[in-house]
Amino acid sequence: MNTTAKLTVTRGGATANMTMIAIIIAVVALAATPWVFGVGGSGRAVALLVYVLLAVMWNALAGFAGLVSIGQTLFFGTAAYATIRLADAGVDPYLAILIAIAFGAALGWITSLFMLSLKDGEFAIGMWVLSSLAHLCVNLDPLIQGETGTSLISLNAYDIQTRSMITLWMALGITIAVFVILVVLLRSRTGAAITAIRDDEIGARSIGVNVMKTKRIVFVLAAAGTAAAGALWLASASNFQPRAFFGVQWTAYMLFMVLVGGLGRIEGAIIGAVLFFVIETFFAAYGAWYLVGLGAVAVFFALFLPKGVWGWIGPRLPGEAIPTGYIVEKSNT
Amino acid sequence: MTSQLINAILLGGYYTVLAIGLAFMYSVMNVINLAHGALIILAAFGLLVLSSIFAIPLYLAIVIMICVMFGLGLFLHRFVLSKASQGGELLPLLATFGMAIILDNLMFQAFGADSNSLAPLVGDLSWASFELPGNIYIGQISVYILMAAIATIIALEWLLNRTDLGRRIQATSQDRATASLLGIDTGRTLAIATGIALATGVLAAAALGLRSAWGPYDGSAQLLFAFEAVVIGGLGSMWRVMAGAMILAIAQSIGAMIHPQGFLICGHLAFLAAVFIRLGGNGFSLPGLLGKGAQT
Amino acid sequence: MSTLEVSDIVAGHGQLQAVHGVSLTARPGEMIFVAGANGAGKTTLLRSIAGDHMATSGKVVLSGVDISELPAHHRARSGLSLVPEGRRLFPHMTVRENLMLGMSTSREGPWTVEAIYEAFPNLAKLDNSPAGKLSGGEQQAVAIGRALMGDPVAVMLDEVSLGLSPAAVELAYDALKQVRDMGLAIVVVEQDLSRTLNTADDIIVMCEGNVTLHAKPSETSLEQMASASFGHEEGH
Repeated sequence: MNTTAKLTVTRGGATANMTMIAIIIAVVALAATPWVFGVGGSGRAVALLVYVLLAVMWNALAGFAGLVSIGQTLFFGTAAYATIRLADAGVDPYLAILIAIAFGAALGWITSLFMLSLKDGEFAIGMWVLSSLAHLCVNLDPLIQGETGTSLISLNAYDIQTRSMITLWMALGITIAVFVILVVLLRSRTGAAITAIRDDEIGARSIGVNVMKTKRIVFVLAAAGTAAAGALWLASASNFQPRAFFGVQWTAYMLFMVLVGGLGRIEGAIIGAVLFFVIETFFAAYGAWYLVGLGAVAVFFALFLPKGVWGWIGPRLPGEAIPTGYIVEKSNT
Repeated sequence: MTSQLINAILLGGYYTVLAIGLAFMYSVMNVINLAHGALIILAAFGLLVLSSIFAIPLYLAIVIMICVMFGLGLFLHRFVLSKASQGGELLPLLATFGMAIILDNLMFQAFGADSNSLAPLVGDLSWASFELPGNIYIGQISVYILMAAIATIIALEWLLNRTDLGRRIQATSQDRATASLLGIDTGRTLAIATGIALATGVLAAAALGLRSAWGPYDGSAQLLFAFEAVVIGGLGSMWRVMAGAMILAIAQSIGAMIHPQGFLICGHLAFLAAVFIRLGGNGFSLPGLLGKGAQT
Repeated sequence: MSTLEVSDIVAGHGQLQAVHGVSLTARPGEMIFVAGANGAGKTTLLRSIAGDHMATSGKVVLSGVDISELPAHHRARSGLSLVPEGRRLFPHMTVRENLMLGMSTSREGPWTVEAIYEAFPNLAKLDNSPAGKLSGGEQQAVAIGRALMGDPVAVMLDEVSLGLSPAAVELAYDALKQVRDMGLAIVVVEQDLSRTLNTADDIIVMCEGNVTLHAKPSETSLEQMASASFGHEEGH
């Protein structure tokens, strides 16, 4: 079919250009936070980036690979712990973060070998069991002192200004890197396979898509991205208490961001993360009621607006905001 | 050693009551109800309120709560599960997880973080024990819980295999379209099944409340125990769930002997072992999986 | 009054329209045959009538009552039964349990498990066997029996003879003739054109979702039906 080239029309367009500009402005604004808002502002910016990472990764897992995991804290918490351990062994804390991300990816790959054979619900809660297991094992380490936790002391080698700047820029760099990897992945052959699996897993398998391999790629990427979020959160908070990193509230946040933003769309995950950041800023002080509200909104979206906010905005825009090539792969068939 | 084994088996009796409802919903509707643990805690609070504030005897409170939870099950199916399951397999998981978060935190708001217990309501029974030969003492309550587990399984197996309702539940679960063609109201049938699953949770709640202290956030731990029992035992019959619960309890007890923190860790490891064994049973092996990942 | 009156059924799957306005009428004691090639829309038509698939438009009237808006289980309770393609028995349940499930319509009528065993004597000895272990012919008998257990006024059967031995097909049709003589209206989807011509009281041939032939057996021929099933509109 030599008409394919002609059919490959829109992968950009006005909406995508606008999005690109918006992203660049956001990146510049975030990078400039330390000068504008000081240390506190940088901390909040890191929080926002961590939420974006978590939402985009959880969305890739659930929305693209059809894998609902309620135990992504396995990677979040373990990466934070690995950073602590490495720093304690004398590794520079920022290098330790990068190694912890690689460790998270490796852990993801090992986990994928057996967990991906479980189906939907069993996988979801099986991941929770693994997270719980990791939490218990981390508590056994004398360095952590059980639930008391410990601090990333070696960060004190940097003065507080420098520290908050490096952490922020690192968070920004990692988020952009993960984002680029995801978009490139979605625009590749694997992306076509991912779309096929998302639409119809059995159908995809029958036309020769290697479902297991494709899911594994997404799962490992999500593990690495979630690990990065955990390590960055530690760098920002500097305290490691196992319960604060392995706690189920993180899963609730991921679920909220992705469901509200829009399951299955990167744009949705980002919007969900930003919304969550705003809501958290204003309502986190309400404690348990705040969590009740998050849960209620998530359930409401799951039942009545399963496509989320982006499901409403997306179709009203000309073209895709983040073009990942859904149109192209139609013309290939 | 014997006494530890007997106590592990009795603990397995508790895990059985805990897992029955989860397994029932999973086998009938193919839905893992992530709010299972939170609903059991809710039922436990219900029992506590009925018997301590309204001074209703515990056995009567259990009967009342069974009716309440059955009704809640009908409600849950009609307004959450049936709607969520139209959107694929993922949404029921997300919706029930969201519900668990809501319930956990609402109960925290209503009852505070304190630990609660139903044991004072039964007086002497809470520490009464049977003496077995060899100077082994076992708690009476644990024995009654095990008996309740066995009775519940017998009742459910009878319901599923010997009654019209049970056959309709099975038919709906196996082939919903054909079941409707035969005149079965599949929505109503599944709502009743959800009600039954939640009603069995009241027994788990009573068992939990009598055995140990619990707080508003203990639902997730109960969910994990129940889930591990189901995966270790495998679906197919409630007796397998019971076997899984026993294996889980024995693994935990062995863990507790090895290390103070070993109780939970060994339970999770038993779950992992069950996953590996299942992989082996499907003709997979780790090298095979690696090879499969490398192909194409 | 006709037992089953179906008018202008339009049905499809998403963008794809499978049935373009088909009507049929079945009176008590009448056996209507719907013939046509694979993909003609016969199964979708039957499923739409039974409510297993929701039609885009059209009307289904059973014994004078409009049941077009009812869900499948209410249509079954009104007395309309569908034996789906492939029988769709519950393989792990016994023959008796499968038959008993037919009673879910809660209708009054002559049929009991024993009456079914009288109509299909070969089933009696299989009473306690799992339905999944039965031969194709036996399964078809159970499926028909299960439909009758609901005491319907009209029975529709999809692909009655598909995958059955000639002897089993003969048995199935003998039973259906008995049922017809009891006054039920019967609609059968059948690919075997000579069987259709020999047995039917009224014949409809479909092609690509349209009725290409509607005739009494005496008014048509095998050739005419064959050409109609390939889309040539003749006779009408």
